[in-house]
Amino acid sequence: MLYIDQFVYKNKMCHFHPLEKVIFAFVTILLSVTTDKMAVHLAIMAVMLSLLVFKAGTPVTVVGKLLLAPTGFLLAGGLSLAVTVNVSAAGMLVALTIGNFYLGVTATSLALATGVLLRSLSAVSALYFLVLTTPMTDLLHVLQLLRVPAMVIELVMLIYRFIFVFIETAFSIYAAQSARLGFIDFRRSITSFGVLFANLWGKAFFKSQAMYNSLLSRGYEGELKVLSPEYKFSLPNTLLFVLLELGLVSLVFVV
Amino acid sequence: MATYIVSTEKLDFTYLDGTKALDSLSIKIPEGKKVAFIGNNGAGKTTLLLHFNGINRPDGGEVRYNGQKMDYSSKGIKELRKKVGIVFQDTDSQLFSGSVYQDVSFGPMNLGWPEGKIRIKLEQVMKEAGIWELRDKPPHLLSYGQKKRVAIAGVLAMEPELIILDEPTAALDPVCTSQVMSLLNTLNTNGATIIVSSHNMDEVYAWADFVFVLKEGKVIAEGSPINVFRRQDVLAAASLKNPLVLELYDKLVSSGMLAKQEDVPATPEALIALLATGKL
Repeated sequence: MLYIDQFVYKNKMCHFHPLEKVIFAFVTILLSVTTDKMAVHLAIMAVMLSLLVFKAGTPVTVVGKLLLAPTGFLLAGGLSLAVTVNVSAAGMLVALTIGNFYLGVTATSLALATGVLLRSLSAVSALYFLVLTTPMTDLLHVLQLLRVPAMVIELVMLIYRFIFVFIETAFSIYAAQSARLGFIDFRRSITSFGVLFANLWGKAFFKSQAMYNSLLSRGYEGELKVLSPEYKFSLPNTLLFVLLELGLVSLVFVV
Repeated sequence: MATYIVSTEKLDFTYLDGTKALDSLSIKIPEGKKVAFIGNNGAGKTTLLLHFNGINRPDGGEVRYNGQKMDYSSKGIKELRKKVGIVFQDTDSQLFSGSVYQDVSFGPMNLGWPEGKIRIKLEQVMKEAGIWELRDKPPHLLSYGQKKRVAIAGVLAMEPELIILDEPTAALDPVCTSQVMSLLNTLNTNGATIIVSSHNMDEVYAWADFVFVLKEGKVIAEGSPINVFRRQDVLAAASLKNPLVLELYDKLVSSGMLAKQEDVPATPEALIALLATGKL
């Protein structure tokens, strides 16, 4: 099974202090949301994706595949922004006549669509930079530093862990079913899926009870207190991020 | 007189669905020993083990820890669980955190130790369990054997005086199994009492100091491994088999290839050594 996590733990920026990466990513996202300049958006994408591929060593194919998902949505959304309907074809670059209406693309709608598309992609690439270089537990550590209530952090931690327990359980049921031809045709698939779902619930309850017992055995008293590894700030890394960010921000004033 | 770390007196336990899991069970577990519980599936091993740290509470009879009747007040339970560590059979239910390091730190954090002491202890137990290199990984990227060792480290980090492992080597590969068993030996040498439940007769025969055989919630035999495994009636009743080493030794003696020994060999290595020296 393919988990994004596999690449996160292998990436070469994994040991960076999470706060450095979080600040860098969020300042960039803020920049991307506030500026209208296309060159800046393109520069953000270029910086983030090259950091991922060259500095962190995330495989290009992984980054590409991950980018495809939001790009699909954005293209569909962009299309609806680019295409306008009007009673006259005035100002339309290309137009299609439908009865008394014109379906077309104007210069402004095209600019709007491209703007939204680029802005979203640049923000997404900044977010991907964070997600693909920073393990979940490091992000939780940042939430702790930001004084997010312990309850929220514990919930995120448990949900994160259980997503994988859930997937693994579901997958093993699925494998057992398909090995006995549970998904041989549409009708059998429907039945098998129902059984899978029902069993997954049963197992989830059983597992949560078992986990509660094991937590009690290790002295659980209502709070999941854990110790994070020690993170170290690094001057060269911080400088790199600051320089890149300054470059991106100054681009806003230059172009 | 030997002291007993845990003992039960006419212990009864019935699950909510009416299954009588333990039936008037009385046992005494000697302190500082390596103790094994064997018995077929559903004999009540896990149910019994969960009584030793107060997760399960008796419906009848009592459980004693160090001679004292167990105190089920929240303070009493807290004290008890500081001393008794349980490694559960299903490791996925035991590991809750996003990283190995955090998971192992959970127990010591609950004990309220200072951070410096915890970090030193974490490094020590994670190295002992051979998982120090995995400290930043999330559990779902680990193999089953690695998860098992993380679960064990999480319990060891609390420095319990009694360590209970429910089928610790089930589904482990041979190398992992011997690593886990030798870790348990080290812990025992350092003074901890170890209790395991197991279906592996060879392992129990070679490793344990004392064996209990459970069947339908009752103890049907107890004693040193050689005494227990000599009782064919007990093994048949509990649907268990002879350890291979013992069976082979008996065959060699009865066929006249080996002289009868004062100390019956417990491990394959001991038997092989005998073959070299003890021939008729």
